[in-house]
Amino acid sequence: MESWKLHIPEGTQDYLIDECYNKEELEHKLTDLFHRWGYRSVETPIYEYYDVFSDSSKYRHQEEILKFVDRNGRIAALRPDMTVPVARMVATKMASEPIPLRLCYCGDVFRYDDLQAGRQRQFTQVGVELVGSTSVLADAELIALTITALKCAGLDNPHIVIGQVGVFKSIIEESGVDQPYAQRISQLIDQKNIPALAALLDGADIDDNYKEILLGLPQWFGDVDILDKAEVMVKEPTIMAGLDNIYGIYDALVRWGLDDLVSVDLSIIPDLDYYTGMVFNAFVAELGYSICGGGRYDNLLANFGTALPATGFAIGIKRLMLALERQGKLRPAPPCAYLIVYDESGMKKAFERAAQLRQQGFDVIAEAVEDVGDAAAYASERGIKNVLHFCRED
Amino acid sequence: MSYITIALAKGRLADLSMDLLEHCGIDCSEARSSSRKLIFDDDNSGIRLILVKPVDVPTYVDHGAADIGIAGSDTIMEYGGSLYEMLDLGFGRCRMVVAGPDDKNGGIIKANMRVATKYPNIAADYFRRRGQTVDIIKLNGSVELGPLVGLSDVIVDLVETGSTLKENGLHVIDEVCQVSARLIVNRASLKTKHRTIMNIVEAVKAFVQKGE
Repeated sequence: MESWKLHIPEGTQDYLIDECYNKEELEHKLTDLFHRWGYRSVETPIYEYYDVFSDSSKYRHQEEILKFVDRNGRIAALRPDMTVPVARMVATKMASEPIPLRLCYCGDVFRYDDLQAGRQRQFTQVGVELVGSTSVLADAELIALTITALKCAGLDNPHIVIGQVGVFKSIIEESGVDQPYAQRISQLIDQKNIPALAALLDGADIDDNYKEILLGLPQWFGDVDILDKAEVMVKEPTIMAGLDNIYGIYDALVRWGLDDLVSVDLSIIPDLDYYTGMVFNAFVAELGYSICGGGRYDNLLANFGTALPATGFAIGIKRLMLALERQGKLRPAPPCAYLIVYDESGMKKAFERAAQLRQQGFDVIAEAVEDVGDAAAYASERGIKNVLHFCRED
Repeated sequence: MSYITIALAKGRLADLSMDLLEHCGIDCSEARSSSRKLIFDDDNSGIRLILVKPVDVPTYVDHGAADIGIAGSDTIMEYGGSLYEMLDLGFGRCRMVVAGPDDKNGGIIKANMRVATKYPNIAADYFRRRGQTVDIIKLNGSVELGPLVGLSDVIVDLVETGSTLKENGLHVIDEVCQVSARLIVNRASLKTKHRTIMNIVEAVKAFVQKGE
């Protein structure tokens, strides 16, 4: 039998020194930033009962989730995202906390993604959830925080695209088309496949006004003015509310001074069915994937027993690093500041000096002279500038 | 400079794609004349053409290695990634069909039907939607041979005129879908290079509509 002991599973990776340094730096920077915006860190288990995710099976395909059976015969699942576990935690354990509740996290999630797409099966997300507010200003805060976070990470020219699934969902509800059909429509809108969408709607039993709006969705993207085109066609207050929500977000972003980094796309209909309102993604020109995604999910917590509205986003650390690397923003891990070499006679002094320097915040390697060999050569290879000797012959 | 990269499928669709792009003011002369090169930069228009294997066009676009691609809807469907499929270009038309031999013998063995195809995802999806359990056998060419040598019961493949099927004693059992060339766009590119890409999309769209 072939041995796999020298390999790691597909879709996983090791982080060697330089990559790990950048990853950790980013995680710290972003978590610190979230704290400064008033968010508090929480953690959930890496695996949960599968029911947490399957009860909301429409939210994620079961094929995507890595499952195993625990000792009691129950199905467990590695978390495919952070939003659902955090929602479970808030709804079951934090329902009496004063709201709004601002939470943030940094953790690994696991997905059997499409093999062809070459995406990772274990990856780190940092993100926030703002629970208990339906305000458009909560939505706007998340977008402002996303932009600030990406800039704080060192990324140039992030671009945020805002959508509104509420518009699409209202039309589907009001027009009463059935679920499989609605799903096909949503896919075609999401792919901006206007010819196929037109053909599909042609024979459908849907009000003509709705048809026109559905056909409009894939075309209504660009500057915020595009909403004016949508607005003239919309009469229903539920659909209007969706458009007003984007106007409101945009208005707030103008006051944050961030409106020039934002555009609108009404065709964004994420695969994740838990989104109910504003949805958004972040892009840069250097990377073909979205770096960050999020949106409003007002019905998810009710699934776990406490009906609270919520909105949130997650940044994929790996994708952020890819974008930063392409912008030339990553750097190798800095070398240690000191190499202290000692022998038996200088050991005590060496340890004292090392402790002192470490206290002052320097990275210090202390090494017995017989282990390090040629100290100068070792130091220069590792990029260490200062070598101190505590040896008899010195 | 930063180019807009367009991925074209080598072979059958390449010439038609280049005709189309030239009508839209994109110079393809170098790409037409060169036989070995795979990458062609035009500094005047800021457009880079790359020539790739037809089945790889969606991959290049999905990963953002190309901003725009022209590919058959069969390869796009088989790939299944999240691409913007913005225009039906109208050329390269054919049909994806299920085909089988004329004489259906026996019918005693009710094991899973075996389906030979170059398009395992499309075939699996088609039979799943019909509630049929099948065994998919992936081939890379000459799929018509499958039923003739007992490799499979039916095939799922493209037909243009149907003459290849007829010569091999096969006939169309059902149509899976219509196929034609499509213009696809990377999701991030459409946002971050919005104006330049929409100019190209609009120019192509105007030309295609004029031809209809």
